[in-house]
Amino acid sequence: MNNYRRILLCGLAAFAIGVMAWVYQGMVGLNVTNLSNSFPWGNYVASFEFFIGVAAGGLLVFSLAYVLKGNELRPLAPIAAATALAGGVAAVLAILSDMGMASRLYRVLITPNLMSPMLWEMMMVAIFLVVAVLAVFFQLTKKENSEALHKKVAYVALPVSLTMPLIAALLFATQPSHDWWSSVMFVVDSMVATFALGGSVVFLFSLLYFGKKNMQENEKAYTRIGRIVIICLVAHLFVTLLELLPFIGSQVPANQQLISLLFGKYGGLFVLEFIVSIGAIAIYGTKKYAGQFWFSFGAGIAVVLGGFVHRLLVLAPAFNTYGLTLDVGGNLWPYPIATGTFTEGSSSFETFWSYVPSFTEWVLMLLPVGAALVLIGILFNKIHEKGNKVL
Amino acid sequence: MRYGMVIDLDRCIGCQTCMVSCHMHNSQPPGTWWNRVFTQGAPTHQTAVDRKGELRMDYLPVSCQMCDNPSCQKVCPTGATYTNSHGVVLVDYDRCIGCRYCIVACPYNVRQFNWKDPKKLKSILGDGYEYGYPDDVVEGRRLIYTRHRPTGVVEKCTFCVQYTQEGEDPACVQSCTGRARFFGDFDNPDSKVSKLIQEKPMYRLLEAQNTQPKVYYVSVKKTAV
Repeated sequence: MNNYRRILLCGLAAFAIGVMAWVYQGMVGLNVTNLSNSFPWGNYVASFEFFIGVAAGGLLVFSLAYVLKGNELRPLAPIAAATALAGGVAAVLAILSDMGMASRLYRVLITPNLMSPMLWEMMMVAIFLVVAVLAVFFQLTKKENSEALHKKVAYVALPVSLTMPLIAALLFATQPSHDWWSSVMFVVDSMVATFALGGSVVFLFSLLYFGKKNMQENEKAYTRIGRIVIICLVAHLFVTLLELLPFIGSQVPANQQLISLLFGKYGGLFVLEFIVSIGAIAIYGTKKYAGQFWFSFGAGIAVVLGGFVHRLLVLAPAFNTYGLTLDVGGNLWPYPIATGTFTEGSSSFETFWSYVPSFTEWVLMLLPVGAALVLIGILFNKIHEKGNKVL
Repeated sequence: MRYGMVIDLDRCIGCQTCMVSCHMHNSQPPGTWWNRVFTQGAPTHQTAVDRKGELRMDYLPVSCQMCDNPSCQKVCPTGATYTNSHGVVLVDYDRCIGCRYCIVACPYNVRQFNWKDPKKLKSILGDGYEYGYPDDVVEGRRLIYTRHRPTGVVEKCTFCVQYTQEGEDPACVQSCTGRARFFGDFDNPDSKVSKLIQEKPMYRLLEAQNTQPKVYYVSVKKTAV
């Protein structure tokens, strides 16, 4: 059994477990999560944003291989296209897991509200999937003189890969009820963090596909992706600091709450994201380490970990910073929220919701992860069969 | 016609009767509250708070603010949240896909999600025990009130659409022991609510958000909001 089959089987097993968890959640309701009215989005939405990053980064690398003088990325183009498709499918499954009434999704087509950023994102993800399927299809069925065809797809893929994460960021940034999101800086930060994550995932998959022995062969491609990831990570760290500036020293109650959360309750996660990002920058930016398989692999893993933590940090401080916070005698008082959860003998009202994903939430994430692995297993096998090692 | 509410904070005694009557009349499951009343700044309701050396108990009732510029309605991908011809922001329970974007968008945190089957939750209170207005209310083809909302949809205050459609006041207004709540038409300059906001200093919650609520708070003491 080859490695691709192993990935496929692992993916199928994960997918099957994820389906069972989804059915269970569908039968019982979303109370199997640790979400509440005060913390309505959690692991599923963070995962959705994570996979959007993987997908968009994959398609960006694919399109750069054919446009904007990114020729050295060519060997990685099929891997990038496959990553984009797998990420896109996983993103769809992650967000479907979060819907209270996923069976009514057709309503979006029958009675769409064109004002809703969520509708824009759904439309954009649909377009993305079509483009990603085309990119993969032509990569797998390519003939010798198919350069022009790939270029055409890449010219469409480039704006699509930029627009999808842009709208995903606008989903949050258009909400004035959460100061943590409601800024242009948030959009810029979200975009660069997305491409750092997506670029790293393509980098990781390429390392795994081509293996340790072929590091030299694709050195130029790895160096190019490494540079993209470094630029995005540096921009991400810089913009994050810029984002925080207006909050530090602010007299607005919600802003003071946010700062105390970021450097208090969520300080550990915040520091972790910074450390792994700086570590990855150091490895990608040092020729000595960037050329070594395990260092590069470690850097990729670090960015992926940081990417997921970043998605959680987008949500957690925002939800525990209540818009309706009053200054009572000099003390900040968040107006209690009815959580929608009921336990006999305890209050249903909270002023802070300590969200940690439940066991079911983690198990259900095997659904998108499994689907992504299945696709990766199938597509990488096809790429291998087509002899795509050298394009 | 533009329905709205005025809450006289000088009259509110924090008894939470409006909370309970809203909960019961609208058949809300345990843990779900469309209407909340708390003592400002107090960790426990009905305990005094030191405000500049003075011990005080000031109350603040908060339910859906029925905004003229509702952020919840803008973000709803299916148009399940809409404003009817009376200016009341409502949820169509047949159209909601349970994405909870409206909960995220609402700055007042008044929207409630059915995390669990409401009917099962209510059975905790006693097998076969039923409460709340019994009949479904449909406006056009939209289901805007039903006693047992489906699992996985969002709900919130409707200004008791089942009563106001019949010309009655919402349950919270009818049950208010201090007669602190008033309901009426802001488009009618002679209505009680229109006059009240002229007579006393009035406030609305989170004006800076530009949601333009139709719930006004009046108080001469200016202690709230």
